[in-house]
Amino acid sequence: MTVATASQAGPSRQSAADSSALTPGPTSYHESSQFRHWRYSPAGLADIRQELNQRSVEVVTKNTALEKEAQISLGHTYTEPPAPASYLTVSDELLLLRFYCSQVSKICRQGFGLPEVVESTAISYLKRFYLKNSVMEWHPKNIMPTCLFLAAKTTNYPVLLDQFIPRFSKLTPADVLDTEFLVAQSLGFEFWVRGAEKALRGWGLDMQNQPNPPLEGISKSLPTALSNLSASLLTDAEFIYTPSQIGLAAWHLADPSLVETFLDHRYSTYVPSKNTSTSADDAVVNGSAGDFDPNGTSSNDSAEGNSGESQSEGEEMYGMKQSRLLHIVSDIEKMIKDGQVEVDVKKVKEVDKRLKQCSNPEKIPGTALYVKRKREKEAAEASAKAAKHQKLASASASDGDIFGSALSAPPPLLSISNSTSSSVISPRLTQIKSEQDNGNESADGRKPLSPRQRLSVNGSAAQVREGVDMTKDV
Amino acid sequence: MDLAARENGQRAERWNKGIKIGEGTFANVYKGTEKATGRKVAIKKIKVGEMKDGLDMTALREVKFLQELHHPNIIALLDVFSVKQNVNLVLEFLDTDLEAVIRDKALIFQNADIKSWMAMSLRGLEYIHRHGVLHRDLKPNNLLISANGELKIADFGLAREFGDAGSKMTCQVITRWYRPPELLFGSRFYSTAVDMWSIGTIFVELILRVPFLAGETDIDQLKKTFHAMGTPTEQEWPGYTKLPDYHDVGAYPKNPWWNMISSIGKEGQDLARDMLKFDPLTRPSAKQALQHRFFSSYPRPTAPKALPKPLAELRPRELAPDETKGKPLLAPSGNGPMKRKAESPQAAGRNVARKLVFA
Repeated sequence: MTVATASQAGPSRQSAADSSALTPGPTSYHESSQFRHWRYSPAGLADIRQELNQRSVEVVTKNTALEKEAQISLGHTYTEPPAPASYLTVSDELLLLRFYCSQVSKICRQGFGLPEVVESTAISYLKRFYLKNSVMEWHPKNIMPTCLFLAAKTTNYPVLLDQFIPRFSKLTPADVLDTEFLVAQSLGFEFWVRGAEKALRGWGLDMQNQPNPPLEGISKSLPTALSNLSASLLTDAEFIYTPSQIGLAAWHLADPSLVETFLDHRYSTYVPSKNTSTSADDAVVNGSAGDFDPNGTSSNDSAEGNSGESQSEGEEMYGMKQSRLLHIVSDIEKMIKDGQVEVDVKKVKEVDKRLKQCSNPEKIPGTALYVKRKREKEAAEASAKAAKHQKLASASASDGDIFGSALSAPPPLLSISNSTSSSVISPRLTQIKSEQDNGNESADGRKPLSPRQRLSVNGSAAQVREGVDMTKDV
Repeated sequence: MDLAARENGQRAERWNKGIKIGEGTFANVYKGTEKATGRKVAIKKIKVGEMKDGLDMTALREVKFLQELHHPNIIALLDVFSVKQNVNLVLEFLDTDLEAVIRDKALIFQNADIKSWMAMSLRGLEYIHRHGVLHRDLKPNNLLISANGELKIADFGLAREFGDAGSKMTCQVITRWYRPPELLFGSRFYSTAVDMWSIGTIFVELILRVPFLAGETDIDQLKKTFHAMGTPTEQEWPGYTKLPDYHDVGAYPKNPWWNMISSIGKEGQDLARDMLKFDPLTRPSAKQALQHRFFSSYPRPTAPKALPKPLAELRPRELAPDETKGKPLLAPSGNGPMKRKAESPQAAGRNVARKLVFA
């Protein structure tokens, strides 16, 4: 896949990284990584998946051939596998993904009793992962537990690996640990997923905030709305719509008239607000940051339009016309209904069977190609290490020459700890430190600095202390 | 190559890693530069290779929140990339921290300076709270200062989201000297007021130039707090004797403790007293604190550039006790063995506050 396609997903990394240029949006959702990097048009999603699928077919074809060579070179008699009936199509991949997403819910609810936030986050991770990887390269049966394990940690409900592993059949700790990093990397290290549950409950509160609130109707349809929400997790809704739109759709599907009456009320009573509340007081408070919500925190925040609509915000209720909002809601409802259809397990098994013949041999432990790649990698790392040592050795050798021949009394190496000058970053110290690193290689380079060194290094910058801080975590 | 790996490679390419400037068991910090601009950055390399339970939760938390929070008074996470099994956080480079500034006896603070630091801390905190996050480890140490004097809140290793009614939170957070009484009494349901207490103690520390409530143990922390301010009455803090870990630490008389910070002026004293109210529900929010008269009355806060700063930027300083001491306190089992708990200074160290204050 080309880079251009990848960055179509949202604003480029570059601009997002430059936080000073990032003006706070009208709500915290607009500043979230989810809004910035994980929203797509339906066509964009289809393109990404098509391209991933195509590329994987090429890779698998190539690697199957390489596997044959590798086996022969190892002296194995290579038995030609039955030719892949056909590679997986995008919809095959999605079927499998959908099946494993539904497994996450089952495991969470029956296995661990983990709260819903873990479940929905894990499912989002799984879906995001397969926007960067193909099922043919990484089988979801291995990735799903990893997503769950990671999501439990990022949502503050960590499960110890020792307690996690036995809940799955045929899962080893290595299966999770080996892929955890891959998953984190595929997620772009963006772990905060804004689920729609809070939005859904927020709508529930908003709907109570109207004349003659239909309290009975609200509490009666809440369970249905929540179950609609669960079904939405199995769809692409979160990639296309905002949490508040999905939450509203979940209510609307449960009881259309409840939502429509409420929206009629909201739209008919809406008075556009003017952003003119800058008293002298606020000026002091805001300073140069200027990041205060000029309207105060309003409950209307819960419903934002798509990025296109956010411009017209403040002029219209929820940033868009009622008809448009209802149109979006009905689109989401169609997706939710799709999500409610049970996965055909027979079909899943059929796809899985075909997948066995067209998985990337490079990624399956035990294949000749896997062994070969591992050896290559180890060799490359070893030579890189050797090169580094060489470099350090020659650096320290030449270092002495830079300043000419040694003086009769060489200066004390660590005198900086007593001086007030900013000489911590002198080449001399660097050299000492790198020498020490070398010496420690066998002990994994983890030997702490001597107190004296630590003091001197510590004074250099605030970040240093951060580094030292980490010693607290064992 | 996988798409994710390729994207990662492109990100890694943007940065030059320079010399190591700090070393810890689980992270090293390097000086670095952005290749395109030459801008100075700090690269925090978290080692994750041999963790028994995979990626470290502190690191995950830090990354999770810094990815979402973008504000002039919060340290900026510029990028995340990985090399082999290490996570690298690219952070903006900051020269020093408020702790170093407070301890530098060569510096003299004006009230306008203190006001400026307080305003910047509260602005950052207001943003954090507005985004549904509790910091849970505010202390001068974690308030970093940039080259142009701007204060930036850092270290989100203990942060978490809040607002899920009914979800219990751990009370083992916030470094002891800055920990509010409700946490010392074991409250498992709390909110933004815990961070406000920390800011309140930091405010007093900026005025006194020594930690305000420097307890040697958790019990001692309560004693010192009540000794300074008087044991709370039921009226002042309704229902606090019902908190899970409540115990009687003795009845101390009410004490007009704010007299010792009279130099900050009446408005400042008033704000400090507000932020250090025993009843969490009566403490002001960060936003309310910013709207306090203290910030709109004379003198105007000092511009960040003009704030006092240690003269020698890279001057070595003594480590705070909690940086040199001990291993993390880990929960014995079950509940959250992988979670980091707040580290608190032990008995020895800078225990001078009492004498100075109440002599």
